[in-house]
Amino acid sequence: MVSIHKLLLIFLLLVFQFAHAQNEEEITKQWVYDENERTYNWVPTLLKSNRNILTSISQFNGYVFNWIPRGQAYNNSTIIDGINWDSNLNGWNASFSYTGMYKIFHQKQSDENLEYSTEGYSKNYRTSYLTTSANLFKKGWQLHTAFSNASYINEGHIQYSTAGKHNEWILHSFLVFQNTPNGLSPGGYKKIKGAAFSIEKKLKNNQSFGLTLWWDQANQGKQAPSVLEAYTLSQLRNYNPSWGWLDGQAYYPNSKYTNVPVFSIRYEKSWRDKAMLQINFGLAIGEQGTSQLDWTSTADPRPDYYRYLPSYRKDSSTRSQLTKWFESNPQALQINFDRIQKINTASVSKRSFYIINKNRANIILARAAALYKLEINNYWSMNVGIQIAKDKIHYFNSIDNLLGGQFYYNYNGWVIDDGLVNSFQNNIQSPDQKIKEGERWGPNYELQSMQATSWLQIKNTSPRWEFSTGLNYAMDLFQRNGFNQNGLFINNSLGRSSLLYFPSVGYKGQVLYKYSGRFYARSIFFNQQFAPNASAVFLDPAFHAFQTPFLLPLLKNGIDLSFYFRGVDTKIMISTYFQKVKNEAEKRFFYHDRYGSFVYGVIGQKESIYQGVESSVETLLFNFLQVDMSFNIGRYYISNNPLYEILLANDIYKVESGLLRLKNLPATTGPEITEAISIQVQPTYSTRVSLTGIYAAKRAISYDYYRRSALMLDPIATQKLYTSLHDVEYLPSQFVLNASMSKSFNISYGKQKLPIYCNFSFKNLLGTLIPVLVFEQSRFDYINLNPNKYPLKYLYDQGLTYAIGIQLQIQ
Amino acid sequence: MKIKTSLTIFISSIAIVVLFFSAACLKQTAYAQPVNGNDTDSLISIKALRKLHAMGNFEPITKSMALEATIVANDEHDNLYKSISIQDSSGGILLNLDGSSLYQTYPVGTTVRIRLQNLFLTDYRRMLQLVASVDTSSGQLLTTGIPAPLFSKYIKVVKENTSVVPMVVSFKNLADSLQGRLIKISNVEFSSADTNSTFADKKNKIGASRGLKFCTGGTIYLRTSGYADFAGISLPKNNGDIVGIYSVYNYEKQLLLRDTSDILFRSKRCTGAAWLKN
Repeated sequence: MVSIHKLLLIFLLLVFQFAHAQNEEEITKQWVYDENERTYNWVPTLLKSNRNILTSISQFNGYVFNWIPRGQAYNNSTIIDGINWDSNLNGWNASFSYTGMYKIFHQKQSDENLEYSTEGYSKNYRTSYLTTSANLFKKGWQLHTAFSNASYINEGHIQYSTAGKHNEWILHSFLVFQNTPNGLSPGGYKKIKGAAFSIEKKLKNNQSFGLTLWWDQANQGKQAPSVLEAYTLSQLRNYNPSWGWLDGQAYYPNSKYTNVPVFSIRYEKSWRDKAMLQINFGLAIGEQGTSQLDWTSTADPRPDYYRYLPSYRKDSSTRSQLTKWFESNPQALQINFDRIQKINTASVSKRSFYIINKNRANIILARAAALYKLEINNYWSMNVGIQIAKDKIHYFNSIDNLLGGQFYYNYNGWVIDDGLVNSFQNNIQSPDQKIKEGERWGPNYELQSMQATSWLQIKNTSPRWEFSTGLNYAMDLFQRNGFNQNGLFINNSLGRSSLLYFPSVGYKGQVLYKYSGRFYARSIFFNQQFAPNASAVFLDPAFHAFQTPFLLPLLKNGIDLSFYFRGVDTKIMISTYFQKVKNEAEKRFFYHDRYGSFVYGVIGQKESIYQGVESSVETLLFNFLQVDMSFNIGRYYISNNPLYEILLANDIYKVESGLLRLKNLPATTGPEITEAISIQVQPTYSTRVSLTGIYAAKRAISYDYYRRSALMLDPIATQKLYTSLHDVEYLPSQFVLNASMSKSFNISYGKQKLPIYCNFSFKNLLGTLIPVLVFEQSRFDYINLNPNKYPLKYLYDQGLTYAIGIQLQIQ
Repeated sequence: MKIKTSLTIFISSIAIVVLFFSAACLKQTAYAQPVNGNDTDSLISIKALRKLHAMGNFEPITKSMALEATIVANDEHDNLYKSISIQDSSGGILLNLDGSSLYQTYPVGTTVRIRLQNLFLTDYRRMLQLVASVDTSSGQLLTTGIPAPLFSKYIKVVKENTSVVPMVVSFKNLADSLQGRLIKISNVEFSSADTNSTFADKKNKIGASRGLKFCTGGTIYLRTSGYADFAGISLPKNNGDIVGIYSVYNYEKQLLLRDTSDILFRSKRCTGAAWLKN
């Protein structure tokens, strides 16, 4: 035991010599999806992947372009131990609850393109089935550390697993930390500590029982996008306007956090591989939230506020003065918290005009799921399942920091002063309430959701043909419960709303024809309904229980046809697809210059079409060189002019409605053309080097719909002006190059050989300045139609980042 | 000899320690702060500055000059908009600042040092003001205040909580040299026709001028913005003293109220020959 400790110490000392980099999300995703790594084959054997190479490249290397195959964003789901932890309620981020802890999962199956899955029915384009089952991990210790200059600076984790025989308890446990001190990443800081354990016991009569708990406490700063002018003035590609200086220290108020232990138990019984019953229960209780600077009755503190930037000035002399000032005083492009603190401290009544606010979500999620699989005979198989989800999230704000003042008024900052005494009161039962640090204020309400989903899948397999089909039926129920009676919506803010019920059905089918052992043709067709989630159901649940206009089930239907060649050393895939999405809805809250008021913009019955061709080639040359190539071209566009309404925030009065001129505009921000090549060299079994290059073209910016209304555009007689206001910008075509190297070797310790695995990776080797997010602001100059008054906002890729990871295995 | 030396060393050590701790007890040394950077600009009085201006024109200030003055009015009650009024012992002037909630950074009673180089002297309807830029391209003189990010470049807080005593002025002494100054006039009241009115039209955000009559004869107009938070309050009916910023609109003498607490009307309305002449 002592020797193990010594070894640990030596290992830690050794690895802490390294400095770091790579995007954390990418690394963690790699952990999840690298099946070979799960079984400790750190260096995977070539051509063993059973997934689409296209998805693999886009997932691990293409994220800077927001490259999603088939252009369909937010169409993924993750099922863990038979439970789908996604919620219909906002405020809960399932993957954030296990951030940094991806290694507690074992990949069971990853389905793409709505394939038939033995693990259950999914109506999403891509679904990953993960398990925490302890008996899938090998006995021993695993020590890992990594350094990066991206989202974290250092990471460490320890994993311990016991192997067990029949009737023995098997344990798998995991501890992780990640740390980034203030100022070392664009987001500011990061702190994660997490623990997980999973136990498993095999019982008599092919039964087993298991339970899992994971608990992550994470807190990390967030980067905010900004306008191009601010980037230019700061001369930083990672400029972040959301932090500032306080008492000589960098202060990052923009953050997100999670503290939600998630617990699940599972029971499984099988009947001689012919049938299997799995029952799962899960419970998650805790809190997630965000924090940020908030203010009322005072000047805008954001350093990149449009009125503070040189471009706002009409005369060249002031513009030039401001430009020189920002260039020679970079601190002027950050928030001056000292000034803010002084203002709060100096106010006569000690009222805080600026605070650090926490948006908190107290979360209770309960899940029950059952799955029954049956092999009827050699040709027919089926599975049937049900999941019931009951979610309750309580939303409220609390004051994290009064920044020098002694209280903050519980007022609603966006209300337009109509002269009435109570309009701006967040709680008229306690008017003019003075809120102290740590106390709650603002909206205070709860949303409840109950979802019951059931499905049935049947599959027929024969030497030439495979058919499968699935049916799904779900019902979603929502209710809002307000705990505050606010001054604007006295009759509709307090108490329970009526129960809202949304049924949905769907089916899918697949036909596979095998020409030979090498050639396949496959076709998938589907027609799915999706119920809206709670954030779409209620117009603004924070303040009232009014339903959003245009609420209809989202409909997705489509078909694809693919051809596969699976040779010994080469795999080829070519696929053509078509998908139509109907009844898309959107709502947004923003300040409307024409009405001089905050408004709700609501869009309904939007339709989009996604179509294109995807292809990939995966080939092995000279037994040590693997080349993967992919070429994809698609067209993703809005196919109608949808309906819209503008409602005044103060009284939900409809001031505008009609059509938006969106037809033929881009339906997604993903690139419509992508070409990728990945070269992997494996000169020895223990060494692998890979280089991936991705070219992306026709990437549309994320644009604002409401300024493209018929009401605004139709009266414009000048074609040039019409085009400049209507058409959507495309970002320049760009190329990103990434590299990685992995190497494993053994060190001798007495009679034992201890394997060490090393991984080096580099993202964006050429340091290309790639915008990962570009969007039109919701605010628009509706009076003078000047598109440059509120310009585009950008967020750039970090540039060249690197990561070094080292892992020691003790068995 | 040895004993004497040791004693000397011992006493010296004690003295040094005592001195050291005594010094530590004092809050601050009496040394002056080193002067550096822009604080070397020549100081000019507001009176001298005003003399540089010809009414109706604008004058760019090109020399390294500064003035030191105390803030006497700001936008705390929204009767002033994007400007503060400053005064020194020689006079007062409006300083235009392109920002909001200025009162939080620049409360009344704050003494500030203002760099004048690159600013402009202009007037709006004969009321002098300091601005950051002028634009005559439209044929009109349009001005803009100092941009918010440049506040710290142009304005430095020298002292806080300076007491500001309004200058007591009679009607006959009201002159342009008092522009921007905090003044107090006595024995005045609103005309009886106005006493049922409010300071301004708060509902429609329209400003108003209400005649303030001196019992000894003469009228000055109380100018209130429709955005002032006291715009909707009824005018007081009594007679008494009032404090405000002296301003002009062309040749009309005006008073800008900072807050209703500056009105001290406790006496009965006036009577007499002079009053009848009003």
